[in-house]
Amino acid sequence: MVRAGVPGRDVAILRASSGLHRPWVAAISAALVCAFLSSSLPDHQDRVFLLLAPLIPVLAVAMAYDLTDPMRELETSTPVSKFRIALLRASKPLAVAVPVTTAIGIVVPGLGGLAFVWLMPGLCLTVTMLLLLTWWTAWVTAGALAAGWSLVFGALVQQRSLDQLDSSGAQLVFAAIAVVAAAALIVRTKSIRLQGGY
Amino acid sequence: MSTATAVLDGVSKSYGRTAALRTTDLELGYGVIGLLGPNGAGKTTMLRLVATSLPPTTGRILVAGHEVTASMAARTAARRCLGYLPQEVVFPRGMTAFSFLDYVAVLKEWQSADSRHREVLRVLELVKLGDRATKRIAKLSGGQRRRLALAQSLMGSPDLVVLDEPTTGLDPEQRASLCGILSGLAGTGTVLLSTHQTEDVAALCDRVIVLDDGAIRFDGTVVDLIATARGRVHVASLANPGALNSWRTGTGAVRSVGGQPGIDADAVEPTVEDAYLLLRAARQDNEGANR
Repeated sequence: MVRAGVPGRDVAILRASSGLHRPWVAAISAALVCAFLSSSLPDHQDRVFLLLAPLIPVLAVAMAYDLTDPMRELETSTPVSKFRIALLRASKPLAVAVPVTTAIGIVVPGLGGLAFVWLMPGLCLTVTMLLLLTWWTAWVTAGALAAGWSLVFGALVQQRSLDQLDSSGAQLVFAAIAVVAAAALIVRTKSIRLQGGY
Repeated sequence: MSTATAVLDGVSKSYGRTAALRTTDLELGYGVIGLLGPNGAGKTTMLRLVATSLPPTTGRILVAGHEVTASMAARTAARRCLGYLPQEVVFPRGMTAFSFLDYVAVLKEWQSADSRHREVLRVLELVKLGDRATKRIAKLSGGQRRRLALAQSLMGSPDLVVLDEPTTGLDPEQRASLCGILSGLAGTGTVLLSTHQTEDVAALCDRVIVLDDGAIRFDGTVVDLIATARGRVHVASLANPGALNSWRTGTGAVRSVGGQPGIDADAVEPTVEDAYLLLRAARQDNEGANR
């Protein structure tokens, strides 16, 4: 990793995160649950998949960020940015959650092109989560986003316009939100020192 | 201006309706300060508050002049001045002693790899684990792991070192070695430690604080604490009636802590443990009388 240009201190953090298997396991388990539900409800498989899939990276980030860390108490009393640790750690379960969920979308019969539709809402929710984590705790943030996504999704189902998620317009809206959230995240992390959190 | 390394000003901590630490005012200056108290007295809560690992419910906490309860920036500045040994340290799997300390050095913002590695080797030598640097932590004994956990708290020679039961799992030789390390630190900073070992307090501490039921019951020097028990510990052929604790010693005489001394009873010099037991008993008596 050092040869690939990753700073030595980031490598040390990633190496220390190797014991954090729970976010990893949670991401895969959530993807499998999503696959199981999608395949066992053939009449609603698209709804189940599109509702759950974008939330899998959110769950992975929440698990990586918070209470699953056995060294949390020791880390809390050090000056390093907890946000930086969280970002580095989130990269690991995300690297698993995204391809596995996409693969499941491809493998489960009947989902067709939906295997990729969830990616943009998933990205949007994940970046928004990282932004909100600069104010809220991981589980409050994850809960709020899951509730928000469920409301949006419910409204689309109610209006019988779920297929709009696949439209370029909707994908652009999600992409735009993700870009705005990412920009806000950069501003937020540069303008305040986040490492002082408890 | 206060020379205290840490100040607790009206600090309390509650978990729901349970008060873990009642409103407390405290100044911690240079030296080794021991926290004594039974399980559930609030020792760990107080240590975690001082170590900025836990936010207080009320009050202000200052560490090295930084008001940790005021802002994130102040809290970060305070964290640069402290080392913390939690009661239990869970080590990341598969790491060596060196790589664990290197990780903690990263957390403590040591940027340069060279200076970081020098500091890791220094603290490893300090806790006499220099020859175990490349050993996997899983292969270390319980005492060695505890010393490794202690080593991380000493990294960077912080102004304030907060240690939650540092002597747990150490053999007498290792405890003696720890006393040497901590007394060395006390000359230039503050060491706040909790322990159940009253002999550690007697051997190490300039000042002792007794916590019980979330409140400070005694705060003074070890000599002052022992003085509270003077004339209340006896040896005789029989136990003092009403003694808190009594046992037959190797000489055949019975040593009694508290109670009414008999006619053949001789007062003996109390220990920190005697004083602590009497202090606890006095509080329980007061509580009983107030009910």
